[in-house]
Amino acid sequence: MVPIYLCDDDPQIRAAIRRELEKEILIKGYDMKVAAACAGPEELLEEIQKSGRRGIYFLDVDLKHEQYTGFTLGQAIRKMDPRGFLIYVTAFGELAFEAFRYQLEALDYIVKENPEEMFAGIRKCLAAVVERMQDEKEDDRVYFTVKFMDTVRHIPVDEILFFETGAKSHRIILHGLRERIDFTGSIQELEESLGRGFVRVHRAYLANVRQIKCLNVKERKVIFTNGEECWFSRSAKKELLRLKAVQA
Amino acid sequence: MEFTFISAFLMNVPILLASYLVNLALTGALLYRKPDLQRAAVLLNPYILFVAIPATWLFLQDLVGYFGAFILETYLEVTGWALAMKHIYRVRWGSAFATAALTVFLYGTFQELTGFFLTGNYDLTVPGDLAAYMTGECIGVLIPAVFVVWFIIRSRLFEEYAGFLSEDSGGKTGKILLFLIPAARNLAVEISNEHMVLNNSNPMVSILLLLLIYGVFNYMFRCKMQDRKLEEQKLNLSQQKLYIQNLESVQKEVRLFRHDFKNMMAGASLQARDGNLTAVQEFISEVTGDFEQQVGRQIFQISQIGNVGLTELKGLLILKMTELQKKEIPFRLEVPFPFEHPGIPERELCRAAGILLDNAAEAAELLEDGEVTAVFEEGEEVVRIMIRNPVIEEVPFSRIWKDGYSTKGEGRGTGLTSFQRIVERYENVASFTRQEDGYFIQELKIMKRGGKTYGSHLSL
Repeated sequence: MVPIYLCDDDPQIRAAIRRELEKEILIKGYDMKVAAACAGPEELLEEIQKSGRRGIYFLDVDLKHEQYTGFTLGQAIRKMDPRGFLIYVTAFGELAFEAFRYQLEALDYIVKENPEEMFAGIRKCLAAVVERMQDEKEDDRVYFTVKFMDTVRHIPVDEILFFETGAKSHRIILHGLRERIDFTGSIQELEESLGRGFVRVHRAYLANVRQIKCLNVKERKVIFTNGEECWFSRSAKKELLRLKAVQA
Repeated sequence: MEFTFISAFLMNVPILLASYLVNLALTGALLYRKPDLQRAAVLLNPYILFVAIPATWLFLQDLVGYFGAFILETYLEVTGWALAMKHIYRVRWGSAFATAALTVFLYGTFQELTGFFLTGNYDLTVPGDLAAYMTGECIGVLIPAVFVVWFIIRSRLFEEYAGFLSEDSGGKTGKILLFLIPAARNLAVEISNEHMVLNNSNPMVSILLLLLIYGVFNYMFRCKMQDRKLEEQKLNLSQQKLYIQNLESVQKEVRLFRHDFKNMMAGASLQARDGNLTAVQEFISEVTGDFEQQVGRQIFQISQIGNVGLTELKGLLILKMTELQKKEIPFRLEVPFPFEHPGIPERELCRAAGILLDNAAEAAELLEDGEVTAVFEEGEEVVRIMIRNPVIEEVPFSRIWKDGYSTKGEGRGTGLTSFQRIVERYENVASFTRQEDGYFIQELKIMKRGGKTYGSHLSL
């Protein structure tokens, strides 16, 4: 049962959202429940603390509160429930929502101006949550995590082509199929943690064996499935040829 | 007393230790950075060996008085220190050699100051002379060094120096000139001493040369600074113009709206009197919707721009905003909080952000419903910049980073390469580029304070 939390200081809006949520859950048979509908942030945070489960949150952006804004409340919730679903409810159509989405990974926002639109938004959000949870369940891939300060990116290991050391020491560039990350790290540590699926083909490159399409032995280049290339060293040649033979 | 290789070498050790310290302090002041002391300690021994062995040999061969040997020794020191500081301060090669030449030049000038107290050459085989020489070389040099370090920091010369080093074009000539300065000093001393070896020194000449070089460089810097200020003022003016234009258009819209609003109000009050509540409700949502459409969006963008506290960045954003407006590409800018301390020099930030925005605009132009979204956010510890544009096709990740790649054909698109150079220059910066949910997303994250910032691991 996924708990749903509401926070809005207007009791009418609160009640209206709650009614809509309960109706939708009943109709669609979602495995969810409205756990709490609170007027203030403290009350809400207390409730979340008690449950300790991944939840869905409908939060008012303009909380009339000294300590919290919708944004900082979102941050506080993220600390307790890093994987919860945040949905913002706002009086204005114009909200710096990209910033919300970007930092808090908020799911969506709903404008409460027009009741019909607001209800439609609520229904859409619930459907999106259900879909996302379904996707996650089916996903059993191994992920590589890059952490830089408060940013955490998970990249499926089988979508990584190779790692490259940058021009400066401790610079690492991750080359992915749909992604590229330039961060600070150590290729040695990467080599150790990634294990056998990755081979140090060159002092500066650590390649994902499964993403290697072919070798250009003459120019000593590894060619990856998407056409990207990197060098390989004399000492890595034997190992690479052996691996390709095994794969073939 | 006679010198053997060992005793001469041992004599050089404290001198080089002093030179190492002086170079370390001067470099720290010029770059205005704390050295990596652990590395500095590790590199001390190699540095001493690197410089002392050839120097000792020259000394024992009695070659020290010759100009060639003199130059050789000077550049041995420059090279030694450049190699050491490259690792201690983690700078680029060009900057390392230029800075090393400068500090060695300064160090040499400090050494020469002892010349004021001399009447003739030291005779190092005489214990008294040796003691005086060692005192001057090991302790004497520290006094002017402390003074110069203080001066560099107090008069904020390091700011000018940073500007000098960070220049990409034209900076090369400056660096080469800087590299030649120690040679110039050697030559000046040699010529004015009329090839007579007076402990290889002539303090007056050295000081005059130092002042001359300081004057020339300072003049150059000041000129450049003035240009920059002028540019800034121009930017400010054009910014204000755009700002006012924006406000004027908002005002015009409000006036129009007020006109419509009155008419609509009259209609609505009639309907309210008839008790037609649905019509009144419709009216309310229509009016609020219209207002958002016409005025709200513009007010929103202006208030976002208002949060940017950096003049140059503000200018850049307003410029890009008008460029995109001209191309009729919707641009959404979000700056939810005051954005004032980016964590890297503002110029670099502007260049990086400019490249990302240009890329996004270029890609958006090709799509029918292209748009650009930009978020600038300054948190307590991290600065985040995100630029996003929709894409339909698969982004060719293997090619976009190559020099000269562009959707618009050749000769453009050197952008991402320079962008990468900026990212790599700072250890506290990371960039994330990806294609996700139909968007091309470019992110830049800058950490404002020190500490371990990174980590990576595997997870299921």
